[in-house]
Amino acid sequence: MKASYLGAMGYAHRRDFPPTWPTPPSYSDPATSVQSYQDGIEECEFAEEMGFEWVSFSEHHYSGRIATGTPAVMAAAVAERCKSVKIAMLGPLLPLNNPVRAAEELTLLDNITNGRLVMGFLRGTPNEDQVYGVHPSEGRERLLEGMDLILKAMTEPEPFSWEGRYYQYRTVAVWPRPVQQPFPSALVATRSDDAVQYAAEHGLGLGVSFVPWEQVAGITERYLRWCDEAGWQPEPDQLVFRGSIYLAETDQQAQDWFRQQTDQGRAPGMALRSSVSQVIQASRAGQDVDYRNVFAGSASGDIVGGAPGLTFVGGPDTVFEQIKAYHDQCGTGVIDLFFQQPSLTHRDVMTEIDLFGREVLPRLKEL
Amino acid sequence: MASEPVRETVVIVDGSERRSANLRDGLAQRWLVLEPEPGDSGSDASDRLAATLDALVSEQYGLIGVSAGASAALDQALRSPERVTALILVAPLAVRPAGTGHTGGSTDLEHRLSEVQCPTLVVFGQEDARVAPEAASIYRNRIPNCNIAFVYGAGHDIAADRPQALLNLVADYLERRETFIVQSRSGAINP
Repeated sequence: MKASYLGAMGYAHRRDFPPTWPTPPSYSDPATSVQSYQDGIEECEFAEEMGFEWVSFSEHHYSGRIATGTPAVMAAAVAERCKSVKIAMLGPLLPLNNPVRAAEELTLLDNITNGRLVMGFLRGTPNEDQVYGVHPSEGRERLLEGMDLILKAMTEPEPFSWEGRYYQYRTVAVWPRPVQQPFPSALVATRSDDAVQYAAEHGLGLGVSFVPWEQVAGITERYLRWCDEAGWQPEPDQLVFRGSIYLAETDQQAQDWFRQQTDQGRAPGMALRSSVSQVIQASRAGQDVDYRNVFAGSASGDIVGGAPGLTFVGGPDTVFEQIKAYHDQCGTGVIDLFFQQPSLTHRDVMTEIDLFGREVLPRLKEL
Repeated sequence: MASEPVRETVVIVDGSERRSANLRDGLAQRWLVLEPEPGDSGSDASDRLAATLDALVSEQYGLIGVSAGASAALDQALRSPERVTALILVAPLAVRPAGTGHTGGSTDLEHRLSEVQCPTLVVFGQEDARVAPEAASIYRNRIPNCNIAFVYGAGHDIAADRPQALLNLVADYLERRETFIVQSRSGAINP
């Protein structure tokens, strides 16, 4: 089993952010921000040194918690500092982005890393639907078409036109061609059956995040069945799970920290005003919504769970067993870990990476 | 689509199992559309098509070949280069590269692609299992003025799977030829 370090590049003072999304830009002090990115890059370098085999990046907008709205830029910077890890773009949010632009970024990354790119395609969390003005109900179809277009752009040797439902380009000729042929290692990050089926039918891996292994096992079972029907079996690296972690020297220390967070109202995750969240979810489902009283951008308001809480909490033995359950029950081959909990400092995170590298990772690699 | 008709003839040679009524009817709003019976494949069919067009069409025309009808359309473009102003091949079965499991096309036509003189658009369904993926490159590389297009969400019967997308693409190409690659619609939201 392999471990992946999620390069979240969180703003150092993220503990001071309001619990809602988006985080107002007024919270960003340039000097602190510059140092935060340097700290984040250092964490990636240290993770590689401690035995992590992937470093991953994620597209999230308008927040300093995962401060990589343009993950390809961040990935390029880290790829020059980390010379052996896989650079996993998990990934571009396809419904939000021009798929041709995404293909260009991905093939360029595959070139400057000499074939170390892993690309993940996903739809994004509901709040992201507000970012570039995409209708939430179109996200699913834009994801499916975007994946088709990206793979076509990477594999078609001659310039072509694309007549899609959501995208029309009369000249597509992506340059450079990817180093990995016919296209870089790819996975679909999803829990939805149609996208899981797409992954199986196209020989792509599967990424699942932030849910208990019992739920992952059900998704994986369907994925493997569809892969079998399509005539192939995924490699361990094609089954990826992303979870949030807090690792301490002992279980007691970890539980004490977690209780402290809860008492201080610092439950991990982002939040939207409940009314906004409800509208997005209803709109994604194609339901009629009442848009009155809906607004985003307020630092106050109802707090609803945007992202789930911690997946792995404890001392080394406990965390190992928690991760092992995903390996044993779901076939997970790569565990992608989010260490930058809001209250932690750079020094805290470096200590955790060190502890994980010494006490947990060697045992994971034997699985 | 503008209501002002253009005085040009478009000929559709539709060799698909289910004729593309949507394409024919859609184009008929702007062009004079002729759709001769494609007949069987082979040189006899091409001869009959040539004779029919000589008898019925006195001027230049745009030519569309669909599926198995692409071979006859391609042959006609080679026979009458002075009359065919634009050639559009939709899910063509004229070129079927050896070694791909999609054999049965015309080797002679494949060798003569470089002789096509008019602007040419070749349209493929993104999920068309009857056309070899390599075919697009062959048309593109051998026909001197050739664009290729993929229609998302369409198999071999593009007219059935994405009728409006096919009509818009074909009409745009008939009107603008190779300059169809230039965006002609404004992106202004609140001009």
